[in-house]
Amino acid sequence: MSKTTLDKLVPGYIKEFEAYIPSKPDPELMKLYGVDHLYRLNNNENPLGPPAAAQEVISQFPPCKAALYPSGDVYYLRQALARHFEMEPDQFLLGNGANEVIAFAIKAFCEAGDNIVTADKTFAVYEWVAEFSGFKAKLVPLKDFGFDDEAMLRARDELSKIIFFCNPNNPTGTWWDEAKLRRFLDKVDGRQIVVVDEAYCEFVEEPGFPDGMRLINEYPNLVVFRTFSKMYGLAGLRIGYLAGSLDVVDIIRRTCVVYSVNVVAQEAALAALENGEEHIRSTRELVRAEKDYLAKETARLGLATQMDQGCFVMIRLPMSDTFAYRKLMAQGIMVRSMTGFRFPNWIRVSVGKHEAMQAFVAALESIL
Amino acid sequence: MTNDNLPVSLRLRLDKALLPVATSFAENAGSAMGLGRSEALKLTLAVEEVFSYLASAAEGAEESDGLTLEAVGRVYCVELNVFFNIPKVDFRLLNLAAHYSPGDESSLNELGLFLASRSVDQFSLSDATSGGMQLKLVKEKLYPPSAEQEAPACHALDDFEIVTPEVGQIKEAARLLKAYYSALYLPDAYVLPAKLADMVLSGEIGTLVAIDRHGDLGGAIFWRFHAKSSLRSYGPYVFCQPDPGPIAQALVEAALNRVAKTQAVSFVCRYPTPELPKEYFEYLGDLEYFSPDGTKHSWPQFYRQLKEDPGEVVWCNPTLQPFLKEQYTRLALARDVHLYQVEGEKRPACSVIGTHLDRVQGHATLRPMLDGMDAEENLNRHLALIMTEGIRTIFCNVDLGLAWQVSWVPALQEMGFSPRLVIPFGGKADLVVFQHLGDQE
Repeated sequence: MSKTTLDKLVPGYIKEFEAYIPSKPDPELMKLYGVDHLYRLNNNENPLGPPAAAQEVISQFPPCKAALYPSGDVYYLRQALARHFEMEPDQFLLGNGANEVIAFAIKAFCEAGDNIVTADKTFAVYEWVAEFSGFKAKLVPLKDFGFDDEAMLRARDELSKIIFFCNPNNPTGTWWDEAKLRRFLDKVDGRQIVVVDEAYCEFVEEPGFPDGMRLINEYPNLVVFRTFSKMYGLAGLRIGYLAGSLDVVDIIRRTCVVYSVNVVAQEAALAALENGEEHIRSTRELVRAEKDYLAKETARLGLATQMDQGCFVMIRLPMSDTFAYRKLMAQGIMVRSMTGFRFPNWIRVSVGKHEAMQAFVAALESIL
Repeated sequence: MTNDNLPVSLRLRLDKALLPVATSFAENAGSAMGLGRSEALKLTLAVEEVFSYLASAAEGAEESDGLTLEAVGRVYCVELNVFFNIPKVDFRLLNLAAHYSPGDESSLNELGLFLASRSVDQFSLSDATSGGMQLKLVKEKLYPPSAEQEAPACHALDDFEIVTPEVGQIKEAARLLKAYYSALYLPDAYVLPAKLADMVLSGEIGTLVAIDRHGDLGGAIFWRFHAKSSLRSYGPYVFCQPDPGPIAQALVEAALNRVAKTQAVSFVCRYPTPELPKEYFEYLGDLEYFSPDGTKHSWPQFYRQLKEDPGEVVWCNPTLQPFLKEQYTRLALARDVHLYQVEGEKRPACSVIGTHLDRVQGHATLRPMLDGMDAEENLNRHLALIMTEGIRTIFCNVDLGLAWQVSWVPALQEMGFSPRLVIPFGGKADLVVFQHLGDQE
């Protein structure tokens, strides 16, 4: 196929979009950087793994069941979510990771010429999905590392269909309390869908932190995203979900790809949801202790940090973050360089077990 | 980027009878895309000569896929790409150092190429992504000489914000650059304010400026792609500020944020000003610049990666191995290095070298385009020609993603070129910048 012919087939917004290239598998990276171990501190994974009950489900999964299709609409897990949150099963839609439900929502509400509103320095997938679907993403600068409510309201126009807001924000950990979220929803007044991504909400122990699920009845334009990848440690199985009012979810369901959540993920998530309390308590304890350790050590090294809610910490370096990434990789430490999040010279470190945190601090000190 | 960038194309048989169709396409596309009469005719001449030459070459070939002409308007220039697939075409007269002898029957057929390469502002020859080869011809608009207008008023800013400039601000920035920076910091493209504004409008150059609430300029930064994965930045330029640091840092941060999600992997500072905030960059090495009076000026070069390093496979000639090992260790770059050298295998007869002359800065850069048995001789011819023009700052870029380019390294070193620095992702893979120092080191 000639370049000219291919050009004619490809929409302009796809030509201008740059594909995200994920990092290579661990064995390849270890070979590349010549190291015999690798602490993965780049993806905010749970160092404790999934809850014990979910681990049991995974280990007992009968291989012959792999030949059968899973429940197309994740029937039993939706029932369990409904019981857990005291809502209706039809208020939930599951996806192959929360990333997939972002695409469901955008496809359901946006058409040619429409736009979404989000922040410039937040989880990038809202912006990506909008742009490679041909919709403009209006990016509002953060204010003091947090979402700027007034600026987001001002950024809307008559073609704005969805406002994406991450609470707590990845990567800054900042958050809105319930009063601020309510004020924002009141001002939106149903004119846009408001998506609150609560991927890290289970890590938050602050009393004023809002539970988006409880607000859905009052604000039918509110859609809440959650995931089993972070607190529940099921990132490798890819399962996340959205919740909203019956009317809104009924619309989004029309763009939802059924059968996209595999059977192991469905069963493990169900077990995690119903037996996760002890796991949440242990994880919070670990995250709290290791963030305290990182705060103390970064202060000793004279490094500025942005540390709030969530299982991650941002650290500002007196050097290029991508250079630091390579130098840390050469010592078997993998962090997230933040230029891609539009935070040049910052890195984000996921909280790991103490041994990993000690190795990170030692490696960081050696490269400064 | 505007819709004007949409290409128009024409596919035709390589038949001399169709020559008027090809020339008509070039002339009309050139005119419609903004070239003046004289420039459009020069582009037409180039296409006429290239088409005739390729049609002659195709007569002897067993098979030919025909030819595609593609014209793209880029506001300040028209780019005309010629896609073709003919084996064993001799392009040696595209070399700047090639010379045509009127009495030489054998080079008569190639005279057209000689004329074509000299009637456009840039040309390059490369393998096309769709197979075969791509000859890119670029003809720029002719701009009137810049009005001798004074640089706009400039003063210390109380407060500033970083914005994408309007056309007027781009032209003001160009005048301030000329007023406050020596030519050393200004690539030739930036000398004419109107051309710079057009290059920004075309999307070829990106820019941000620092302005106060009255719209007065305090600084600017520019960048442009020079390889698929690599951006070259210029600046930051800061005007009239007692403490240039805050504006310089804000410009760099904003530029990095602007390009962070593009396909660029590396952001190279080939024209770093003293205001460059070094903590955002990695030191690559020094290049030496010679002014006409022979004064030598060492210029440190910097870069940073915009993405996490995915690793890379590179070719290396054994004589380059110690240099590369030192650089890759210092920069902590994970590279799978494969050795390559010529050991008597078959090569084309004639090489082609691209030459960029920056007369404002007084330097030349050579770029291997096609391999050939005469590579060493050809390099020597180019070196001699450039030196007779009085240019003493001479670079040669070797792309470690192409094994045949690496095979030129011993010849370069023999001629007095030394490897000075590695630009990660500067070409198909990393790029090594050689500099000719001869006895000047």
